[in-house]
Amino acid sequence: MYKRIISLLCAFTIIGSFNVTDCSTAAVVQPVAPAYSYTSNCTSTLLLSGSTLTCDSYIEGYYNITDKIVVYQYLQRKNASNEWVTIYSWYNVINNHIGSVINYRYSVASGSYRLKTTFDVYSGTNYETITKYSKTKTI
Amino acid sequence: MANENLKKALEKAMIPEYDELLLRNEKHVFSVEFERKIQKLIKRRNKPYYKIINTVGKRVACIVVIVLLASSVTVLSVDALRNTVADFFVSTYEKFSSVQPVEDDIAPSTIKDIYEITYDLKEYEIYYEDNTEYRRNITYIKDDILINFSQYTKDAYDINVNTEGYEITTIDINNYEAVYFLDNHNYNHLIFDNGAYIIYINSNISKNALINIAESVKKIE
Repeated sequence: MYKRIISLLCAFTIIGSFNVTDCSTAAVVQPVAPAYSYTSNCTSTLLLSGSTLTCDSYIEGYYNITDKIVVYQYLQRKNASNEWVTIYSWYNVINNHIGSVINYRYSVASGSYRLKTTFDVYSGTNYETITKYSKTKTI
Repeated sequence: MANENLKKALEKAMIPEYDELLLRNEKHVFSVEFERKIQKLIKRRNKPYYKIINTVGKRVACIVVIVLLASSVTVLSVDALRNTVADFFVSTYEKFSSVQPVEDDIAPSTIKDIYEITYDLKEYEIYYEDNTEYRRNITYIKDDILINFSQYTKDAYDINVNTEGYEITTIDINNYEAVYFLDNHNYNHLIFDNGAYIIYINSNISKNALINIAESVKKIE
């Protein structure tokens, strides 16, 4: 009886471990799904100078493939519960396969900040969505 | 008659010996080693999970379950395959890689020295140029050939690159170890740390031509 229970446990664990592996990979990749079909590289950079934050999002698509990029920037601050909350957001359209968006926030309060950038990268009517987070900066 | 004599002789010889043994009545003392083993067996027997591990087969099954559970937990805790390639942390995901330089507190936080391609690009024209205090991006174009050149401060360089299905290797560029890969649009990419800045060049020209261009990158001011 016990051997049967142990065997069943083993079988469930083996099956479960495969599922877990697949799920973890999917969880990592999902924010940038479906794929990098129209994007070569991108950055989401938050720079701190005194109490000024520079929010810089740069992207390179592919010439003759990528024709428009919609850039959503979200400046996020960590709250008392350790959750990231968007405090400012910006929206810009780049009608090219390459470009950047830069925005500034002056005299920001102390705390931890990061820049979340979502790029919708178009090729005709098709597009892919890529999300990139900056390093955290603390004032 | 002979049997009777034999019986009497045996009784005479054996009974005193038995009597002596029975009368001795001494308590047997077990060895320390024996006592230790017995105590261990009793302790094990009293464990609530004794029936799960009381045979070799069950014990092996338990170990297999523990190993599988442990490996499942490890898989869950790993977001991506993170390697150090040249002077960079490369986190490889399914569709892309994230490339970050190793932290360097003494590297300039803004661009103080300008680096450019000194390779002859007379036939090319500048298609795009974007300069800030911490990054410079120039795209050269000739027909359908593009050369994207970038210079970044180390602090500002944290990039996602399209490496889907391709292997990242290293190449020597003027004694700097560069990260090299070919992407799924046949663009060759080279990223290297020249000690002060990150130089990143990608292009749809040949790999050898790109290496020559990368080797020509020099400080111009």
